[in-house]
Amino acid sequence: MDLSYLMIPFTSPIIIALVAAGTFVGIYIGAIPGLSATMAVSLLVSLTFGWETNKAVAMMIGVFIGGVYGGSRSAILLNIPGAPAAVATALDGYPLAKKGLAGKAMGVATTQSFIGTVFGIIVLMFGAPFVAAFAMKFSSVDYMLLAFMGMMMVGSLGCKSMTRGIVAASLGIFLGTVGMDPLTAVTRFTFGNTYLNSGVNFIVALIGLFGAAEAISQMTEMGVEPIKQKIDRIIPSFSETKKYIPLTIRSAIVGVLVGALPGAGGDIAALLTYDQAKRTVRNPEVPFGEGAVEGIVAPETANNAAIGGAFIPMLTLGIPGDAVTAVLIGALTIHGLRPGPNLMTDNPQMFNVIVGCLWIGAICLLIFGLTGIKIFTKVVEIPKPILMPTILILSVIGSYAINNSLYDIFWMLGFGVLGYFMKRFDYPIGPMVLGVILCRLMETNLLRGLMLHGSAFGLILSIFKSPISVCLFALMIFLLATNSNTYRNWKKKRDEAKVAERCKA
Amino acid sequence: MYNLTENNNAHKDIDGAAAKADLQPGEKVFTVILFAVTVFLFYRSILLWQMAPGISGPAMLPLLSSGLAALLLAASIAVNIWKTTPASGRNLTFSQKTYIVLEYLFSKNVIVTIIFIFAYCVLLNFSVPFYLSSALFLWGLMSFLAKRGLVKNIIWTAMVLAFIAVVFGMLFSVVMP
Repeated sequence: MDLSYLMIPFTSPIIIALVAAGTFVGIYIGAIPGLSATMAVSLLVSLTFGWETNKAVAMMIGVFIGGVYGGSRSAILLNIPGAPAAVATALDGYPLAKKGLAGKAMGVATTQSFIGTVFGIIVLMFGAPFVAAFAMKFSSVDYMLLAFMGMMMVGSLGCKSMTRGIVAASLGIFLGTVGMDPLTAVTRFTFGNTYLNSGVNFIVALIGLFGAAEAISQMTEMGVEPIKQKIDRIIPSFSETKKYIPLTIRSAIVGVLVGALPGAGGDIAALLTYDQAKRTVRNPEVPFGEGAVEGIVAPETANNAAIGGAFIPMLTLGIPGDAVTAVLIGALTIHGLRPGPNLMTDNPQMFNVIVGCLWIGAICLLIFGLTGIKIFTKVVEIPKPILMPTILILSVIGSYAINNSLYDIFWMLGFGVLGYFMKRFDYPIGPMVLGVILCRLMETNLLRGLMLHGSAFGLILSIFKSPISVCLFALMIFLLATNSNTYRNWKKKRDEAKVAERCKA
Repeated sequence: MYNLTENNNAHKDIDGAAAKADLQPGEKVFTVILFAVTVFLFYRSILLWQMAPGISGPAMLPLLSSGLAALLLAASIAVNIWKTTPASGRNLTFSQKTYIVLEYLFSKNVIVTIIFIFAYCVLLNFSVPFYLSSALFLWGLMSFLAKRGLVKNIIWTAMVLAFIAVVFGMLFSVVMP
């Protein structure tokens, strides 16, 4: 790696300023449900058309990094994830805000996002070809197993009853199947409505089930005074950060690997690592779902590590790792570059400029993330009669902005009312969103696998022919086993026996 | 029609029972409604399967997901029979039970909010300008929920709409409904 190219962005004040501006704007865009990093980067393509390539890329990278992180802000403060990648963050972030610890939650989210981003960049710098080669070995069966693994975390998404979690997830999967079948283009459950041909947009479901439902639910607690937030200690201490290093490393690795898989991004990485954290962290200070810091550490590290991961297949193979990198490929093509295997040999400076901009973006994320917390926490302190109608109107315009369609508003409000009923009757909302998000990945690869291998038996057999599939399958069985009551009882007895032995000693 | 005072008294008696009950008021009915919906979805999936049969066909996943949900909800209904609600063991009329459920689900604020949302959708559907309908929605709902500050709410409404105009309208070029 030629470090002289890497230093280009650091020596140009304009590039530094553009990355900084992009990151700053990205944080606020990410925090607003309905506005996504993908949308912002798409708009920047036309805006930066006449710019020099380095400057255009610098701004887009800034928005990308800020946008992924920004989703956690609204997730923590309002229980409304600004982006799908922040769904898992809301599970423990919002309970912390309810305790007046939103500042602490956002501080942890910022530092972990920074660490995750840096980890992703390091892997991109030194391991890009290897990770890309590994990611390309993933077959449709492996993607299917990955989606099933994602579905297995139903139990981790704040479910008091597993049955209700599975019901919600099944309904989510069903909703995800509405519209054209991805492989045969047969329309399903559209009832003759052409709008439904393109299916239910999962961002619309996310805004409705989290945003509108939360706003309606809060109407029942209108008399409750807003919680005064403690913002005296925002930056987590070094010892605190050190405590979470093993979890951070595990989450960052999963984040980079999932981010490098085309079609799977930060949202899936964050959900998988939240589940992983819940299973592996022993004795958290606060139980998961009630404000466990580990519940923020894992998803925030993973979704930002996925940024570096997403650049790996883009820069080494010309295959986008996620929606934003797909837009970036388009932007680079407009500027006369062709991301792919030849980019690193023909235009090594471009690879290094991107890496350099990512480094600047990560630093800006840390600076803007930590300095803006005090202003953000004021949002929670706005009186509810003002805040709730504002959330509703932002949900409306946010869902409309996706496709400029009135139907999206009606769907969003429908999801909002459904979400309200589900909340009142203790049906978890998270698994339903999980079902909608994972449905396409699961269905496309399941059907592709079935077509490739001829039958269900052939598909199952194929799992044992690939080392990646075997590993994923073994992991799935392990997750299933460790989630069973038998295992939990055995573990409880074992821990009790250990404690008894210690007492004797 | 049922007697409101009588129902209010019934509700006061229920308050203590609610904490001890296994289920929320109306939860059994909600489970039955969800079950009916999933059975309908399962039926539609069967129709789709008949049109395009095959394990790798478009009906496979809908059939599995709706079937699983219907099965689990049927089991939940069966289990719910033995579970208690705040109205269990009390001699309440149907109208009193209905009142308790409705009060649990629809507080005055929730009803008014849903009405406002519905009215807002109607306005948008009938092409009433976005900023006008949104201003009415915001100011009306804020004023109802806050019960005061009618003038202050105009400022809040203007601020929110200005934010939408700048961020969505100017920055992101979103064509308003």
